[in-house]
Amino acid sequence: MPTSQPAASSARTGPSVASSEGLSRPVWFGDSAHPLFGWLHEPSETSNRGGVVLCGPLAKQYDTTYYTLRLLAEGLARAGFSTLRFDYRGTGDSDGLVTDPFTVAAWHAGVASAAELLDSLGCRSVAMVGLQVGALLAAQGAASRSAAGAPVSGLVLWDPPASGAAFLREQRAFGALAMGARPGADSSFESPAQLWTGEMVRDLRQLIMPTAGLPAATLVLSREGANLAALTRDVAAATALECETFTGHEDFYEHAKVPHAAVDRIVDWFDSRPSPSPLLPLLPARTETFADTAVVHAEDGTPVTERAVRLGPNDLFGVLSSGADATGPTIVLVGGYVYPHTGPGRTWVQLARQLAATGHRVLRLDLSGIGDSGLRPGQLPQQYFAAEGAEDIAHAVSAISPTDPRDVILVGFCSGAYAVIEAAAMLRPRAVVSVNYVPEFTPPELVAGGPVDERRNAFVARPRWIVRLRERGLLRRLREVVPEWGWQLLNRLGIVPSPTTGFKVLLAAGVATRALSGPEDAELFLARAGRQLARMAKTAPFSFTVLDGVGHSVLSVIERQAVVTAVMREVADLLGDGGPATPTVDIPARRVGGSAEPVEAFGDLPSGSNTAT
Amino acid sequence: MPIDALTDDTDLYEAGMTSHASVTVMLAIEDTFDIEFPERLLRKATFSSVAAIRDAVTQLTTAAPA
Repeated sequence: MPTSQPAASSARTGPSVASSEGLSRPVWFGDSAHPLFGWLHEPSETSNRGGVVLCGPLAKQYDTTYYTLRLLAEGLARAGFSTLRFDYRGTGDSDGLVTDPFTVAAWHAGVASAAELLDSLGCRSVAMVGLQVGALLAAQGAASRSAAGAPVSGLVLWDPPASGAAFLREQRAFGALAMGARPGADSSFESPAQLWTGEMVRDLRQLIMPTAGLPAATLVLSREGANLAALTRDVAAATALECETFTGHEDFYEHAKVPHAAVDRIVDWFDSRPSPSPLLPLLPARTETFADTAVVHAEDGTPVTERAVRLGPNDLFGVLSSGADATGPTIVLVGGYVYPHTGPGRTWVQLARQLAATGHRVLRLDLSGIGDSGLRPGQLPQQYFAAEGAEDIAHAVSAISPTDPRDVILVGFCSGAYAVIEAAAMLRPRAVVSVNYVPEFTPPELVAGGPVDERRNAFVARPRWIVRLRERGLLRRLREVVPEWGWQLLNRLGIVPSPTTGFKVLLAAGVATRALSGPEDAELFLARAGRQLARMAKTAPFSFTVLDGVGHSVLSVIERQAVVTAVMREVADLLGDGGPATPTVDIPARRVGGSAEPVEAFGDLPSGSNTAT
Repeated sequence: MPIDALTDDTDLYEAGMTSHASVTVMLAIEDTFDIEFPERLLRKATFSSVAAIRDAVTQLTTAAPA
């Protein structure tokens, strides 16, 4: 397979990246007992026009808006503003769990800490931008600073909910309609990729848009059709309000499509505002050594050290987690779709910290063009199933395990599983664990009208008639009526490739392989190659396990816990070091070609995790 | 699917409506009719077709006051 050789570099500490767009660096800040993680984007000049704090959204929108907020921060830095985007306590890369007490109070404190960090860098003024529920937190943060005698210089409320209650109402509807989730007795509920505890619900219900202490100028950028009449009337009494709408919020929130016009409008709004005179030189920000490591905590409270790293020639970004006396191979987690290194609904953070707590070293990796990683020359951002994914993984592995790049276990989710399989074919790592692997897809180069990239070994091409049947909703019916021998015949005749192609590539390379799939993703394999999988499980270092109740996007707490537990179990089994320590909840799992076995989830399920899936 | 091709009974989810879009529809209806969908109606089926939505709104707007 033609491919470039992995760079023989090692992980770089102090992972700042300088470019014509400015300087971006990860920072840990706030309460050292429970540090927050953020990204500081600084102008390329040696002075700045002020600071901007970005307050992001939560739930599924954390994942789908991640890249857009990165672009916004880079745009603001290019316009001369030192910009900090960060994760609230219990979200993203920051420490904590959403089930921790006083979470909403910690979110308010996080906004204040972010602004104070910019103060400490010498920003003459600090402004705030908030998206969705982040708009309410930003506005409250602005009012608090005003009350403390340090008013913010500007405020952008991007798709603000009218109130915390209105926000909860929308999330509640998402949970009910997308997941069939029902509220618990304590008013807790789940929405896609987020648990809202009873305490959070109580505190968020009290969250309102302040009408005092707002800056002289505020921009409201609302979604089309939003009814914000009452909110804008009240807020307009306190600030010079500009109200505009932005389009494409559904593609933004559902499909991570960047709303470029909205991003440009926010940057322009700041750019058109008068600069402080004279511009204040940046304080030691450029030379100050920000801590690139922090001690965070696994779900059971075990301390875990995390380090932000840049890897390979394409500035791949990752977070290395390790507990005390970490030994054995590094476990590399690669996400799917356009999810950043935190994984779908923060699954990778939970998994990495739990694995680190049990003595492993874990890397959560962003592939190129995704999350916080760099772009290759000519590469389009946010391309999943990209052919470059395998080389990215090879580069990252060479950097973190330079003496023996094979001494890794690669774990991939969805399209990340595909990338891991392609990488493993050339790296021959100790093992691969795939989660909700989707073997059939249309590669981005094919969508663009080109040929299939020759670097792909495990790609399962779909004949046009299969694609058409799927578009018409008839493919499932076909699977029901065509027996497995029929699919095998079609495979032998070269008409329909087997979905097991990727697994066969791994086994031919001698890579131990563990496949984990929810029923929805397993259906294609079982209908077309169930007996084949069972034979492979008997004759090769291979297993295929169906995780009952786990949907493709692992939207609920119990699904994410099932994945975390199942991966930990496979890793422990592969390394022969026993299984998870504190099983309390059984999640049915069926191993194809083997006996049924329960998969135990860690800890008690939090209230509100009563999702009907 | 073109909007002209939708009938009262067309399955809106099969026609491409996402869960996000169904929530947008729900909130717009609540605003327009000054109603609130109760817990029992927060189900995919309630928003699965124009006819189903109409039935739900009729039910809520004609319900006797508590």
